[in-house]
Order: sequence, then structure tokens, then C-alpha cells
Amino acid sequence: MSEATTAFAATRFDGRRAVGETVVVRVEGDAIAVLSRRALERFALREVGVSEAFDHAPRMLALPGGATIEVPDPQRSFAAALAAAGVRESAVVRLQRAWPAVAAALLSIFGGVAWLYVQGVPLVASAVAPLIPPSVERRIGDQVLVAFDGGRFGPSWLADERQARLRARFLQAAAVSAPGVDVRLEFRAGPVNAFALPGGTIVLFDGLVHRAKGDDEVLGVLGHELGHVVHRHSTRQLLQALGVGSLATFLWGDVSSIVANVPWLLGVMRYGRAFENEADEYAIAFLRANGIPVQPLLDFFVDQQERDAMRGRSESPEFLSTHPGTESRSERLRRAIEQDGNVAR
Amino acid sequence: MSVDRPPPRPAYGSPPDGQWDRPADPAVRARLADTLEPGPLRDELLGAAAPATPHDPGRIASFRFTGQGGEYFRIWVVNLLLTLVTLGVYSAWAKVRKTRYFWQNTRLDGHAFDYHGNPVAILIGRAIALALIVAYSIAFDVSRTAGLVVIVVLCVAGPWLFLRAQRFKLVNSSWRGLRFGFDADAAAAYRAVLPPLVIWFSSTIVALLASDRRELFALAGAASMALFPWMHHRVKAYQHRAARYGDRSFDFLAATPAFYGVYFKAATLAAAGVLLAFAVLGFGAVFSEARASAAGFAVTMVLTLIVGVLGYLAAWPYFAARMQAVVWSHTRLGEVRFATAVRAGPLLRIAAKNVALTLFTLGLYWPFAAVALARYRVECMRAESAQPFAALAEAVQAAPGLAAGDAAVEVFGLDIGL
Repeated sequence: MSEATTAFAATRFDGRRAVGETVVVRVEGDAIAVLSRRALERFALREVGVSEAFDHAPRMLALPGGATIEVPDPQRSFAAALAAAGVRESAVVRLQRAWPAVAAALLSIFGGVAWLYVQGVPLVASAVAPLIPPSVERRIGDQVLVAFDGGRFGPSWLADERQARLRARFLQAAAVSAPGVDVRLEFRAGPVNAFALPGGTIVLFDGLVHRAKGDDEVLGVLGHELGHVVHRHSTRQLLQALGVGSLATFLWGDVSSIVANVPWLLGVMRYGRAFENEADEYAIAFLRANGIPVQPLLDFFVDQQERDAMRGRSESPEFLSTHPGTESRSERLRRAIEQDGNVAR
Repeated sequence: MSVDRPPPRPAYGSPPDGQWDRPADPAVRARLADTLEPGPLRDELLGAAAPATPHDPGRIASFRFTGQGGEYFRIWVVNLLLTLVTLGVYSAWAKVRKTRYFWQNTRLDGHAFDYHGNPVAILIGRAIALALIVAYSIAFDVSRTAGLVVIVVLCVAGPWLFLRAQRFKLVNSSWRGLRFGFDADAAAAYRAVLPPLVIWFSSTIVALLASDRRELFALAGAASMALFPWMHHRVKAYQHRAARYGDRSFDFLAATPAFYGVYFKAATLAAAGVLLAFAVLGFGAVFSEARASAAGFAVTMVLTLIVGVLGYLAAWPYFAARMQAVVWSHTRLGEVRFATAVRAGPLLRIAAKNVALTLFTLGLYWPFAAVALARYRVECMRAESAQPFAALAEAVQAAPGLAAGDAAVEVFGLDIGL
């Protein structure tokens, strides 16, 4: 170390008044020597609080007794003198000083966020969902239903006896395959669709009943929706959207709430598919447990696909359309039918 | 090693033998020539012949910001990683490291600010804030009573929490070795913050208690909109009047009409942006309807979004620049006045660049953006006084009972972006 870098002009503040005193400091072994007009003092380095080194900020030395020394260090030579004296930066600071480490940190963040998005959030959601009281779930579901009824979907046009028959068959079957699960069936006028709300309410639209060739097809679809209820998919979906939303807010929240909301949509889309597959599995189990053939549900699927293909665009019910994997889904049903020994047409 | 050295000398006489060589480095010499007052120390280190630089009386002190985007980027990445790995716990430490970076890189009159916040206190504060936010967001799904209870809790605790947050922030900030401070007068906090809180929640309360009275709901909503500048002014005035530097109190001159002026003009700008966006949407819709073109419709949507974002972009810098100017031109610290030369035009350029690059880089530009914005807003500020700053500094002392080193230990720190 050259002579020229050993002494540093600095300002000392005593912590009691705003006026500063010009001093000269230098690092001497494991001590800092401070020379002022009045005195030469030495402080052991371990008793001095040394601020983190920034490229253009002064170093702040907190002396025992409350005084501060502000050392402007434009050439980083004071930092070099401190380093030579064995003042170690914290592990975090050393990490951020090295660009390769920063690059590695960046990659870890990308990897970590990707993992959270693909696995972490669904895991947490499925663990948390059972902790939510059924009353809260039911209330959320009821709110959605009320919002629906206030909208364009009126009461069902189906004959009362048809409604009663479907409801009785479904509730009886549900009691067999999912005993103890609180489930309700609501009929509404509307398109070819059905969906499950948080809290166990399944809404079935007239359009689907009309399109289906028989009660068994409707029961297959209801089994699929019951799968959503049993696995608490609606609640998990809400939680996952919440989780992805929080993650995005955490990552980009201080940038813009618009940017932060884009992954929210992606989250809702992505998790849909996994849940549909799970619900299909459940539908198969539900039908088997009640001795209802799987074939009608497959027929319904295939019928929808053919209609879509003819129109050149998707007009399928919500539980089919958002998911490009319809092929593999009918494949699963076909496999189940073969296993059951009911050979497909 | 140091034990062997001679004991400190009581007064500056001759330096310890050969220990204080005259610095040869021109940078060190220049710095010494700038800062050393005339006297034996100066003579010793620079030679008696060194010309005495004329001492600047310093009636105008400028703010400087020395942070760099690339440097802050590395701090930000490491903070983010550790926060993620610790499931958010590290965020309190990250907050301290970030604040230190910005404070220590901000200089007034050549001296840097410093931040001394205790991460554990910030962690506790964040836990409390999180609990309140979660309670507020789920209370209405549980029941109406629960919602009302949470609102009452927020109104009762809000002013006190606000007081603690401001106090934490200021007590842990320092300049020239002296801490800032915040008068912990709970009654004043409630007088200042409770009325805005109640007005703010009024429409929610009406919706809860009398959901069928739509005119009441509209009235409450309109009142909170119309009174928003008043609320902002009330909180800001309280914030600046209760602030201290050492034993000196800040003051804030009433500026309600100026606040209304800024809000009105910014709202007009934003409304013009929205109108323009709707005009683009309408024109585009008619055009693409006539051609039955799906692509035309998509282009219209994108154009509308761009116009909307531009409107927002133009309104925000205008608002931020005018508000910073109004707030600081009405703030005093004893004889010291503050002024800011911040202008909407340059702020707009910075904001537009920041948004565009942040989106383009999936957020990686964010630390650069934060530094660019801080630099412009800090360097536009200056402090003016009729007396030289050196003379002012002589007089300022630490607040009684609050010397550095034994600053009141705050149990928790809340960071509110106000």
C-alpha cells in the first residue's frame, strides 16, 4: 500500500450537535486512528461499526459512544485499507459483489419461481383447502350463485319430474361414492354446461340435459362435477389464483399492478387442466361404484368434439373447451371402458 | 498491536513521529484543501503555504444522488433471492439494505444521510400489517359484523399505527450524525388521521349497514372523492409538522387550495386520456365492424390500451412533480426552506422509459428504474436559508434525551409508502 492512500480526510459528528469536525483517519493494524485538532485517538476495529461499501457513498464509521465518522472514499482506497486490515464484508455483500454469483442468484430466482408456479402453489393450495371451514366455502358458493341468478340465467325450463328424477338418482349415487360429502344440485336455464361451486353446489344447465341422449350421460357429467366437489377444486382454484397473485405482486408489485395481474390469468388457465383430469378420474370411479356404464360419458365427449370439429371452433361446455387435451381425455375414458370389459363400439 | 502505541495525546501538538506524512495523492490533498479549516492541522498536512480556499458561505445546499442502477441491481437480486428462499422473512433485512443504499447515496450539502432501522422491528411491523390486511380482505366474506369490527379496529388502530410508522422511519434516519424524529403525540395523530380514515370507509360502512340506500352510498362515495385532496393535505401537514431534525421542528404551511389544484389538473389530464382512449376504441370498433375484421378489432384493443397507458403515464408524472413541488415549497425547518425544480416533462420521459424497459425485460430493469427516478427527484431538490448552513449547523442539537446511540428503541416498524 502506498503512502498516499494511508490517510483520509473525513468528518466526525459527535451525535449531539449537527456541526462536524474535520479529522484525518487511517487504518493501523486492527485499529482506526483518528487525528483531530484536539487529539489523536485509536479505536479497535471490532468496536467500530463499519457501513457496507457502496461504489459512490461515503463509509460511515460508528464509534463507541455514539459519534460517527463519515469518510468520503471516491477512490475506494479506504475500502482497500480496511480490507487489508482484515475487515470482512458479510457473506451477503460478498455474494452481491461478484457478478457470477448475481447471475446464479438470478437463475435460482427464475427456477424457484417456476417451481412455485408449477408445483409449490398447487401443493400449498391442496394442503390449505381442507382447513377452510365448509360454512365459508358454502357462503362463497352462494354468493357466486346469487350473482349468477341476478344475471342472465333464469330458472330451469325442465319438467319438474325430470328434475326430481335426475336429482334423486344423482344424490343417491353421490351418497354411494362420496358418503358424507355435502352436495346440492341446482337447475338453471342456459347453455350446454355444468359447473361446481365452492361448498358443494353443482349447477346444471338445461342445454346440457337437452343435448345428452339420456340420463346416464348427464350422470357421467355430474360425476365429473362431483369430482370437482370432492377434491375441492373450486376452493383450490381460488387459493391458487390467490397464491399466484401474491407471488406476482411480490415479484412485480412495485412495478405495476397491471403486470402483476397477468400471471393471475395464466394461473387460472394452467391449473384448470390438472383439475379436469382429476375430475375425469373421479367420474370413472363414480360411475363404476354405482354400476353405471362409462360409455355414455364417452359418447357425450365424442359428440361434443365432433360438433366442434364441424363448426371449426370450440363451442364446448366450459369443462371441455378450455383444455386442448380432449383427445387424451376421451382416451382415458376408452381405457376405463376396456378395463371394465365393456368393449367400445 | 495498538496497545503498544503511545497513548492518545490530549491536544494537537506535533504529530506522532513520522506517522502523519503529508498525503501525496492529489485527490486526498484536494479533499483536505476543501474541507480543512485554517489551523495547525491544515498547515501540518498540506504545508503552511497551501492557499486557503475561500469558504463558501453555503446559503443554498443541493441534494445529490450517487446511486447506480447496476450496483442496486445486484443488491436487489440478492435481496429477492434471500426473501424468496426464506419465504418472505428476509424481506425486513432486504428493506434495511435497500433503504441504506438509497439513504447513504443521498447527500445534502456534501454529507450523506444514513438509515439505522432494526430488521427485527420491521419484521414484527410487517406481520401486524399482514394480519390487518388478511383480516380486512376476508372479514366481509365471514359476516357483516366481522367486516364492521375490522373497520372499527382499523379506524381505532390506524392513526396510532401511522404515528408509529412515521416515528420509526424518522428516528432511524440521520444526517450529520443527528437523528430525525417524530413527535409522538397520540391525540394529534388521531385528530389528523381519524377523520380521513372515517370518510374513506364511509361508503363501505353504508354498503354494509344500509345496502338498499343507493343514494347514501353514492353520497359517501362522492364525499370521499371530493375530500380526497383535503385528506391528503391533512395527513401530509400532520406528517411534516410532527417531524423533527435534532431539536428543530419542521413546519408545514397550509396549502389545501394548492392540493385541490394539483388533483384537479391531474384528474383533467387523466380524463382527457380516457376520453381519447374511448375515441380510439369507438372509431376502431366502427371501422373493424364495417370490414368485419377480427384483426382490426385486435389492433383497436391494443391501440386503446396504449393510449390509456400513455394517458396514465402523462397524468402520473404531472401529479408527482406538482405534488412534490407543492409539498416541499410549503415545508420549513426553522429558517431553512425547501425548493424543488422537478418538472413533468423530464419525469414523463423517465417514467415512460422505466415502464417500457421494465415490461420489455420482464421486470429486470426495475432496479435501474428505481435509481433513475430517485436520482431525478432527489437532485431536483435544494435547501435554502438566509444564514450560512455552517452557522445553522452550529445551533442544531440532538433532541433532549435522544442522543445518538441511545435512540428510542422502537418495538416495531411499519413501512407505509407515504
